Amino acid sequence: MADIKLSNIKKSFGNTEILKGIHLDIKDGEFLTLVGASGSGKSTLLRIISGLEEQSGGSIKIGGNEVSSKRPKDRDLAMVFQSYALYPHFSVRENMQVPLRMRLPISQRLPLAPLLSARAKAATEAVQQRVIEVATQLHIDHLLERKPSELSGGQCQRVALGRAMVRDPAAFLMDEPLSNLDAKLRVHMRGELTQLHRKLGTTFVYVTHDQVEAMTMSDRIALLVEGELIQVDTPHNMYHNPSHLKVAEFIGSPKINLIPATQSSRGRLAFAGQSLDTITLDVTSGESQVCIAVRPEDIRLAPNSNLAARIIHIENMGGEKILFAKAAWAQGKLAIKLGADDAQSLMPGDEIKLEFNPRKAMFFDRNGQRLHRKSTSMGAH
Amino acid sequence: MSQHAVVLDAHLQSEAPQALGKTTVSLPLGQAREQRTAWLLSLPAVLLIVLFLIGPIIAIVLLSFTDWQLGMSSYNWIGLANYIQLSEDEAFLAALKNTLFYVALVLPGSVFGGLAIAVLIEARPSGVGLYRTLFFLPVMGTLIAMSIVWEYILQPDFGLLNMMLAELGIEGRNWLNDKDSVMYVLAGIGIWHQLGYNMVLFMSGLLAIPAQLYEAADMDGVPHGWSRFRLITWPMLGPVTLFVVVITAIKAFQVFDTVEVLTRGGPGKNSEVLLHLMYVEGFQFFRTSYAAAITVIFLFIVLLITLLKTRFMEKKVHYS
Repeated sequence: MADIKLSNIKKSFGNTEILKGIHLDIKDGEFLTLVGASGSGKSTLLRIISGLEEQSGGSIKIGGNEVSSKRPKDRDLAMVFQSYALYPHFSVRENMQVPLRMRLPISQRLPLAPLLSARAKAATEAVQQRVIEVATQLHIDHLLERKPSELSGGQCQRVALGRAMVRDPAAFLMDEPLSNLDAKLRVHMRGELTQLHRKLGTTFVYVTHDQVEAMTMSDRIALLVEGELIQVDTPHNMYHNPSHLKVAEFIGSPKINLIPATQSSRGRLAFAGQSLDTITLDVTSGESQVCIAVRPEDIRLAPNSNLAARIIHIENMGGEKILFAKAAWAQGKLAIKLGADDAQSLMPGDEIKLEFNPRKAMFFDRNGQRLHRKSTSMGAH
Repeated sequence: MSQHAVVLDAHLQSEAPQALGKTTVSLPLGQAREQRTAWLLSLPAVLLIVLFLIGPIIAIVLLSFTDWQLGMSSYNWIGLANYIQLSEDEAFLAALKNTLFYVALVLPGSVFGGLAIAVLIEARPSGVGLYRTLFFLPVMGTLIAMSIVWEYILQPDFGLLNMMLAELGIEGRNWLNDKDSVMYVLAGIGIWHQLGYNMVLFMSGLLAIPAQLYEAADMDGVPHGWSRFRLITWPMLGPVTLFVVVITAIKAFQVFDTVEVLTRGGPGKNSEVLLHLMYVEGFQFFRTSYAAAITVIFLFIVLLITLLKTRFMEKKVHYS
């Protein structure tokens, strides 16, 4: 078990800068998710931690030891790959033995060694024992003699996990391990991985492009955008207290609604020709364009409101419905999450009146930086 | 080759139930019509195969049981006489022995050689294109023309090889006229010719191995070099290796050009090989039925290799 400390990690391929100086402290035993769109550099960062890729600059410390110059196998990490990367001609048992066997001295690894030396025999038996132990823990002990081609995707996933677990590494690195599974199994494995993390108590570094996985599994989420860490925070804060517009946009489904507004030099807001009297922003700059961001669940129907919109599409999720509506004042599409009862009589094409909860709205300046409310008017923020 | 056949089979099997289901629901006649269409569509291919492959093979097998010679207007059925004569013919036995010896040298030489070159070239990032071209050149050249070049290199008095050896103080020999060296020289040329082809096949096989397997091995602590080759490269190359072995074996059994140009089977019968003997018997002595018997034996050997491949080895090299 160990913490991982990344300082100023940089990586470029030719003239393209993939990572622009990443600082990240991953705590011992933490489940940290690196999340971002494809091309954001999250996989590269994970591969740099693992040692499969070399950084162009910066240092990595695992458990306090500088590992930048160490080879992958000497970093005491285990990795689970998206494609599982199981050795196809080996049985499950043999696959899981590899990391242990490869760390035995060569004299004990030879085919006949267990017959010749008592120590080699004991070592081989210990390996067998450990494989069975882990296989039982993952409920794959009945599959030990099968080849990977005879397993389902979910079973392969477990074997890959097992291969990573047998050695008790300092940390697990996972590169989109669930993206090859079907939707149902993915949800199931999400829960199992979280439970596994709780049971093992080892550091997990998990890469995904799926914000749902990030939200449901992690202790903390690190959002990478174009090679830069925008925010590292708990799932709750990423959702409710994003520091940057990109975080607000990335986290949450459907995407957060953005409403353009103007802000006066005194911090007063106005949009769609009306002013929001309840809110004063803590700003020092003069008049400028700002963006009001409202989560779909913070908008509701209000027959007396003057914010009109036209429904273009309704997604029925069973317990709730998501309305997609067009509104001139929002300059685009709005998503509104409603309870199934509230939305019962609505049809595409209907005109609706909306209001949103200004206390839950968030504000961002033109560069995407969060603007907070004046503390006198709204308390904490 | 047969890999494709297997894929096709699977495809047909998965399609068939649907097609059947549809036709039986609509019209019982439809099924018959569909079958007739299928035959009609494959008729050109079937005709060509019968005309150019199955027909000649049947003709040769039948011919080998007669005493017919080129130009004769009549023939007699003589049963197994040609084969009995073959079993006592020293030239044939020498050709069989030499051919097997040739295969025994060329097969491992060009398979392992090609593999080694492919692995070495792929391991180095620079010069891949140059090395690939250099080793592939012999494959593109016509073997007859190449053989003439080799003849000059191996010429005992002013040949390049002996001149180079003389510089080193070693006395060369009359390589092609020496019964101890002639088969080794022919096998050497055979390996040289086949190496590049095998290399290219192995290279494509190497490129098809998923990089994540090597990365997993990195994480698992599998050392570079031999361990990694044995754990990943060699097993993953299984299907390619099988294909290369079969192709190389069949090509080696077909050795003819170099023998015809360089030695004509000599000295004595020391470099006589199956196809060359067949050519001599059939087209120089015009003993057509006797040559047919040699051909039947040759075909039998090729058939045996193919059967070994499909029946026995193919199961061991495919993992999915």
